[in-house]
Amino acid sequence: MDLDISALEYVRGVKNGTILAEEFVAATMDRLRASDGEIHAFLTVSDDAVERARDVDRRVRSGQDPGKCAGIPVSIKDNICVCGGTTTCASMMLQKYVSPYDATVVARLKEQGAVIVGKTNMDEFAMGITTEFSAFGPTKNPWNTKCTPGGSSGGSAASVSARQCMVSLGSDTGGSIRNPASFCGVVGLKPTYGLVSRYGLVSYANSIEQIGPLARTAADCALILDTIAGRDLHDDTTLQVGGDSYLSRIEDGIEGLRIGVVQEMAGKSTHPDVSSAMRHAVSKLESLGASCEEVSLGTVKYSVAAYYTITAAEAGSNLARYDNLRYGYSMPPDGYEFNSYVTAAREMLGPEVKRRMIIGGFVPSAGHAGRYLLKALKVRDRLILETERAFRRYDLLVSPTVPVPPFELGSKIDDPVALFLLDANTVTANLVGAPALSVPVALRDGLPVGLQIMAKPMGDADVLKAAHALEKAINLKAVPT
Amino acid sequence: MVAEEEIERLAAMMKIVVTDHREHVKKVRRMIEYFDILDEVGGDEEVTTTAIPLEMLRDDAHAPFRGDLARSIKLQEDGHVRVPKMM
Repeated sequence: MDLDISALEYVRGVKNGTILAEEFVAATMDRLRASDGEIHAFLTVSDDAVERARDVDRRVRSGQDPGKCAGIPVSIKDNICVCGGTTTCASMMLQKYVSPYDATVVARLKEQGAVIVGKTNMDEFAMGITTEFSAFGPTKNPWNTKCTPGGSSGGSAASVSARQCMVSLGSDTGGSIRNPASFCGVVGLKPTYGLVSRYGLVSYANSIEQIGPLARTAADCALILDTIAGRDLHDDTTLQVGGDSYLSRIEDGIEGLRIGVVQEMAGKSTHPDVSSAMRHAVSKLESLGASCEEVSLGTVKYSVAAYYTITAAEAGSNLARYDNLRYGYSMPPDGYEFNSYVTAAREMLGPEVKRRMIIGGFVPSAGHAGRYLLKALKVRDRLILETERAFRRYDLLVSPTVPVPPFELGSKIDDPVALFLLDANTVTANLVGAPALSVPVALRDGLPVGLQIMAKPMGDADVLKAAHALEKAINLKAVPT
Repeated sequence: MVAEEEIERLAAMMKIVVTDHREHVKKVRRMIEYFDILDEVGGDEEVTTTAIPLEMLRDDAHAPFRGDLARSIKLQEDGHVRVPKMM
């Protein structure tokens, strides 16, 4: 069974009867179980995936439409609710939390015939960039298991890369889809803010986070975005989507597009291997008919500090619900008064989450808000103006997704600022609500390097078609198996 | 530099106890000190504090949840949620 085919090819095969979803999903589950002891991409594995695939085959045989995701094996980051299963956020706090409903994105995938194969590992409450802050142990990079897969959607990216599923849903607050997509050699899209419903996503920083797809091709990401995007009455931040599908525009090409290479995201702090990979990608974009030139976004210098300030403030508020009364692990209240009970419950949170909570109390507090939170909000406003100006001149902005190639597990975990700076190129898209995608463009020392492509808000089709053109021109090899 | 006492006060306010105290304070301090780069940001323009226009909100109408949420409550007794004493 060839597990390397794209989701689009697979759906075509399932619909015309040349591929049995049951056989394909069974083979995928075999691979998942055989490989996950080492990779640890999954926190839970579905026990009904093959049965759901059989349902898809039945619909095909009886002449019913099996849906545009017919039989696609999908993994879901463990901060997105799947009804009846646990949603742990990789935290001991939610180890036994069972979701009472499907997130809108999950419901939409199921309606279109997708098969959920399991829930993937992540940094606890999506706070991290290496998946090492998972309470259940880190995920390893399928390209080199000594290395981090990136994060916080590290399990999602690793699961796609290792052929344990075809596509995955992750969440991206400051790069948490794009960073692991870059490190694991897959395509990862952070959609425009409001394009995809967050109903059923455990909140971290509501004003900037988004759910998005990770897949082995840009076209597969477009298929998934077509399935999950659009207005949801359960999420007032969602936007009405109109016009053609993302997939229908994927072959439009990039001839004549004007592309800005962001100077501040490709400077001296960029690793030489990443710089050379980006130059290689930019020359390919030019050979495809785009014109590329450098552009400066001066406020990017402050973006990481602004991002961590805003997200900490929002996280401090969101995490207040983990008091063992509304959410949390259940211990008897006997012998506790209220404060000591909540304090005891919060001992179940990991160290990074505790640090973010403390900072979340600090930055918006009386006496500090003017110096930190209000300045951060000012940076966000300026970045919005600066990128709006840039997008009047350029159709797309590009940069390395991450300034460094994948690194060894454990090598940065004790340096919080070094971890912050891994987000230097990705947080801007979150702060301004723009779509951004990482596409693998080169291998350096046997490890993948990704290029970030950003467009103005609602320009998701443009980043997808550019990534599609680039991946066809570069034709990078898949993860060694 | 943020005083250790200030970090301890904030941790207590957020109802957090840390086991590796020294290491924890050191990392929180390093994170906050990195944010000091925001001191360079001048200007007195107003800031935007809402992610979406407020007129986009749905009607304030009751919409019952279709599932049985009460089954998710693990600590209950006689139809009531068990909580610790407030006083």
